[in-house]
Amino acid sequence: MNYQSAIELGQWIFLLYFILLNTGYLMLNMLSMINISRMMRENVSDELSQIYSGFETPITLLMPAYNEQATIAPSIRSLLQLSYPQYEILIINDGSVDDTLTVLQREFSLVPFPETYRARITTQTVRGIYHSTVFPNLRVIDKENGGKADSLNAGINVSRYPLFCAVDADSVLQRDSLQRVAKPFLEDSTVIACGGSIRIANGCQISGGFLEKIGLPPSFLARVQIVEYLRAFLFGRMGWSPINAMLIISGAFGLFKKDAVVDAGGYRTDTIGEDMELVVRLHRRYRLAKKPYKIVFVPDPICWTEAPENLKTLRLQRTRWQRGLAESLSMNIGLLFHPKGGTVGWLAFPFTVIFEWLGPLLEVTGYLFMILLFYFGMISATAFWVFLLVAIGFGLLLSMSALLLEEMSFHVYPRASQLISLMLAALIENFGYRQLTSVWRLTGLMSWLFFSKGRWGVMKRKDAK
Amino acid sequence: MGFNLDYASNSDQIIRFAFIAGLAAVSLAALLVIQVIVMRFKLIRREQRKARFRALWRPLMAQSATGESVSYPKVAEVDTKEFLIMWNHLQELIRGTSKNSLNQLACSVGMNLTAKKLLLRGAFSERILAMMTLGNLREKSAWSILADLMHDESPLISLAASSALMKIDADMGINLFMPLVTLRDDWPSVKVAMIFKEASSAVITEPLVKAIRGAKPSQIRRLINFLELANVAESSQVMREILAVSRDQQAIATCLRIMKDPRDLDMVRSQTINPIWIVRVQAAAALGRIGVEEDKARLIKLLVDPQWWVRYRAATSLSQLPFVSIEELQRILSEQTDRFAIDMLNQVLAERVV
Repeated sequence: MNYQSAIELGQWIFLLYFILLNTGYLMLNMLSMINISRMMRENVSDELSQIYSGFETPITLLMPAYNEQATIAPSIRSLLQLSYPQYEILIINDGSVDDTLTVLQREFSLVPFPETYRARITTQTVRGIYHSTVFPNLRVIDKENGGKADSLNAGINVSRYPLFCAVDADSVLQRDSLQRVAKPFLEDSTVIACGGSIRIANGCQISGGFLEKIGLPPSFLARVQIVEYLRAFLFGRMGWSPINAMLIISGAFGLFKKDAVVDAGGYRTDTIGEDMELVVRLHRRYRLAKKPYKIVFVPDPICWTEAPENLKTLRLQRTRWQRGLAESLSMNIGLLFHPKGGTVGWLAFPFTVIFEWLGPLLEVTGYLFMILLFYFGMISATAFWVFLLVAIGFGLLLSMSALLLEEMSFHVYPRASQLISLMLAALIENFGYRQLTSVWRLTGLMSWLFFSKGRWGVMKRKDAK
Repeated sequence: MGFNLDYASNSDQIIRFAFIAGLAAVSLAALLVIQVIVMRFKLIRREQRKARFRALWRPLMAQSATGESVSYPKVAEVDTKEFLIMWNHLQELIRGTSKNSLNQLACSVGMNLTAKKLLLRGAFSERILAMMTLGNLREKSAWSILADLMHDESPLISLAASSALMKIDADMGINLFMPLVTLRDDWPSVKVAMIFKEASSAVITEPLVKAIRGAKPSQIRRLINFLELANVAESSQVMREILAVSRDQQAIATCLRIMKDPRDLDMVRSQTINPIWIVRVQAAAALGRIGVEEDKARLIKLLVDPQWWVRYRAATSLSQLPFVSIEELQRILSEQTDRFAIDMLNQVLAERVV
């Protein structure tokens, strides 16, 4: 192979990679479109009938907290006002070094409680359990620091109900969140986990832990992340869910059948992607055991979370996510092309390996390759610009598809100016932002390869109102 | 910058292919932008119309529900769906004679006829709305169509039809509905329970008991869950029969969960030594509801059960017994030597205080 044909081969590889990647996402987009159309036409009876039957399965809400003194009280108040017939709230204080526990004791009149529970999953030492004297369904576990996964495991041990819902301390939930996310469990007994759609709270008016008015953030960085989240949730997850191949349920909000998780050993504490790892492991266990199960997604916007508004925090978040993804897939690599793997082992897993796990490497290499070839005059300016046209054109197409899905379904941003603003963000993100996040994800991949494990992600937060 | 497609190098093919792909993507994205904008404009117009319609009809419907005589404007075809959504929503919220007044309102603007048309020719969501409307209107003329739709493949359609029939005439409807409850595994229990709940327990008890007696063992487990919505006397009788012959531990546990007739005390007591813990849990809970003085000893024995849930239910049942005071609980606690029993009683005592 001579030098010219090597360059041509490289060009073909990167070009085909970009086209395949985006075609794959567009196919997911089609699946989502079909599914969302079906859901929207079927939801009329649910919207009208809000009566509880008494047959709803009780839910334990687990909220791990590490140094959350600023946000913990309003978050809990919002949980206390959720509309669901029977649920309990378990806050797990993971050895916070700030005043989280003091705030909890003061705000919710906590008293020490001699709770006995089955420690079915091994965790760090539980220092004490507290019960609110004001809210009978609120308890707090105070434990030695062990990370988010360890906290969730401690919560699972102490929980009393058959379903548990993992919620981030900075999450803002809609009043009917539990009702919506529990629906698949009520309709199908084989459902073992259900994820909800996460939206970005920046720019929204939040009061007392509840979302009062939806708005767009002034920061471009946060606005771009709205488009990213739409892509990730409306077709990234909605596309895989109907074929029971969704590999991730966001740690910010997900409902699980407790027995299924306990049987699987709970959350793994040696990964920072404990949310994704658990879901992949559940797929692996059920697929290999040939047990009927479903892991599903509800696209309704039910949980709102604060997105980073500075590059440093965003970089840390993205490197952590990429690392978590790498860990989750590598820990369950046996599922890849396993004869019993089904749609997960033969479709979602390989897709995620190629386009999400190794994606940043191929994307960054592709960009560098083309820039270097252009710089050293090995390709024409036309070839270079055409390559950019493909990369940016497909990126734009995907973002617009996500906006279309949003418009078909929930259109949560009511004003036309907000829509235009999101379209502009979808356009501009292709010129630098996406490439930058690819570099960060590559850093995450490298840190997974070469460095030790991470801990709780620390995010600079505004004080809660 | 213009792209020259008349390339001279060997990369021509790649560039041509890439250019076409890129151009197609950008063009499609542009089309999507246009589509999203068009959809948004349509949405804005729809929402504005909806707001005007609601502002006009909300007070009219409220006045009608209170029995005031009001003259109603004509409902344009385009507003039919919105009218039905508002009207059905209000029907869910009110009780008694107000429902009849609302029904008169719907009939006076022709919604009974519109609903029947939608039932036959509407889109999916319109058919569901039509069924809800016909049910709330108690429209007997739609009976046969709804009875056919009960057998529809879609659980949403078949359940909406069932709900409508039960509202129109529960006594007749239950005879059509109950056999399907036995057969349709795809009907969520929650939805079935909601339909049962809307009918009275007097209506559902006999057909339900009959269905359980005639059901296959695999169907019984699901059906007995609904017994808690039926009359106590009849449901207790059928549960006794199940407990006497069934080897399905899940079914036994469900019966114990529902049992509240003190005459079944012996049966409940015998299950406190069942080798399956899910049965023992329910037996302990049942003793908390119907137990007498002598059952204290049984519950105390269950405090050392190997299963946490059995110990917890035994302790809470002890604490719930009307003749067991806090002092009595403390006395029982002081007599315990087993660590698990002590921990559990401590917890339940603390729960009582909290």
